[in-house]
Amino acid sequence: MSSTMSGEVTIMCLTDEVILRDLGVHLTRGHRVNVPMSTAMRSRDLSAAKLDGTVSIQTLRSAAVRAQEYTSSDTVHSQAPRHVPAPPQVDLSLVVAALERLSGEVQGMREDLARLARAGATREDLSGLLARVEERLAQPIPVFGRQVDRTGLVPNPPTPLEEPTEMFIPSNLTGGAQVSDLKVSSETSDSPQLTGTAAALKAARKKR
Amino acid sequence: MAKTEPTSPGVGCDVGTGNIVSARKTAAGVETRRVRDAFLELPLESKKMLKLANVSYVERGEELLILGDAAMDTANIFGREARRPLSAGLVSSSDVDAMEILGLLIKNVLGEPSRPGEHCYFSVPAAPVDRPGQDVIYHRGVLEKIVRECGYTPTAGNEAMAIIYSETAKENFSGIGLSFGAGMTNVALAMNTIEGLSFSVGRGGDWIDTGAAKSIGSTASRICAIKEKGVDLNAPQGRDQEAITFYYRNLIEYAIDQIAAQFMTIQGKFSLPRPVPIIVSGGTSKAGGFLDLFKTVFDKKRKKFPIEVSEVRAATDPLNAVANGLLIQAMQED
Repeated sequence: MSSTMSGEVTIMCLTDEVILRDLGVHLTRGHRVNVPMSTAMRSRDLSAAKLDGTVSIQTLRSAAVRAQEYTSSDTVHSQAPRHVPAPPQVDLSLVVAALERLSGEVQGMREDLARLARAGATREDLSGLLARVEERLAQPIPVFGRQVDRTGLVPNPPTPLEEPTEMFIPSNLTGGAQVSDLKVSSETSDSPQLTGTAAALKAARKKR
Repeated sequence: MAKTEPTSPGVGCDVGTGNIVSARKTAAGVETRRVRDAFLELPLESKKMLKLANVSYVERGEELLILGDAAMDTANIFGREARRPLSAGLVSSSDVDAMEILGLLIKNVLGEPSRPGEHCYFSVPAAPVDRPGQDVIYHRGVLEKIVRECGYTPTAGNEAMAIIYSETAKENFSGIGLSFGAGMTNVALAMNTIEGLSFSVGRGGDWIDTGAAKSIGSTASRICAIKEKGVDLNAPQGRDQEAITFYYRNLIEYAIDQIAAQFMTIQGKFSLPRPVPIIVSGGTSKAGGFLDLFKTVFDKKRKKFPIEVSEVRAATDPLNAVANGLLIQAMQED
């Protein structure tokens, strides 16, 4: 961690869950928190988590710079009715992990072959190993539930798992029983501002 | 119960873990109706006792159901916990009984529509950022079906945005709305009616009760009772109240940190040309001294907070702010 003008760092969780007790921080995958630089540097839990690779640490711009950006005269007023977040980045670490697993399997098969060769393997022994290799090659490479095509030089983009578009919701959720005397507390308040607020909202929406 | 005739069509319905509230404009003002979102199942043998105690119930098959506020009161008498149709703010797809109870409660709170197909805006929380994989799609679908079965035209409205609509007219509907509920806390940021950010966190009043209870070897019900009896978060008396205050403070810190973290993901993409107010609302915010505690916590984080804040204030009506905001939206439909 390098020192900065702001004295702040962003800690992002790279694993399912990370707890940094001496910082009072509990994060789940992808979530992040800002902490003062001085606090972060004193945290043993953070140092351990960084070594484990369960968190990433980034420095931040200073609050003064951020505030300056917000009050900048060339800030453009957004016309978009709603912010659309950027599309998620492809996580290459999943592909790397899958390739590492494959390498391990290939290495294991190489060692089996060498062992069999040293022991004077028979045709049957080698046939058994060959069958295992062929069987493994026939299986797609799993990358967190998505399959990589082996036929092309470049793996095809993973087919997104299809989300069900229909959900079953039971019917007649309000008609099962008659509740004629359910006590519902009711009050009426004199709220002249509500009508004005509704009109103001209508006007504000027309303006944008 | 006699109902005042509405002058303007449209109704708002806040469906929360703790309470269900509807709001409707009438000649006399705004009529709000509230019922506790709870139920209690008792065996048929309890019928005589309930009649003697003048407690209303519903007979369903081989059991009796007590709904609403009476469920909480009766549960205390029997030394039991009332059940809730919502869990952490959301409907559970595996609990059809709970869905039916929810349907009955909403039906009674809404009442009959003033005309067929009257517009009803109902509250839906934003997806929780600290519970990956949990979404609100099913929850919204169930509520939509219930409201439609009640004879209304349903529209889902974000819970925290409803607070902005009801409480920030003078800021041209710009601000940060926080709804501290029982099951979760909802947050939204808007500028000139445009929503820039909305999310929820899975911590609320129930989290405070559970945490405080665990830390002092008590029960969540007892902690809840202490809270509702009255506590000053700025001057807690005794170990119970100190534990409650600790978890309140933690909840506020967590919510503020999450706002900052979530805003950083849209920084530069959503313009904030002027400072905005923070509005705190929700049943959990009704604890004594909550606003002062929030301001104290926020002041410590203000320098590093990425959004310029003009002021921190409480909703004028914390229990009904969401329902009122939804009503304001429903009124736009005509």
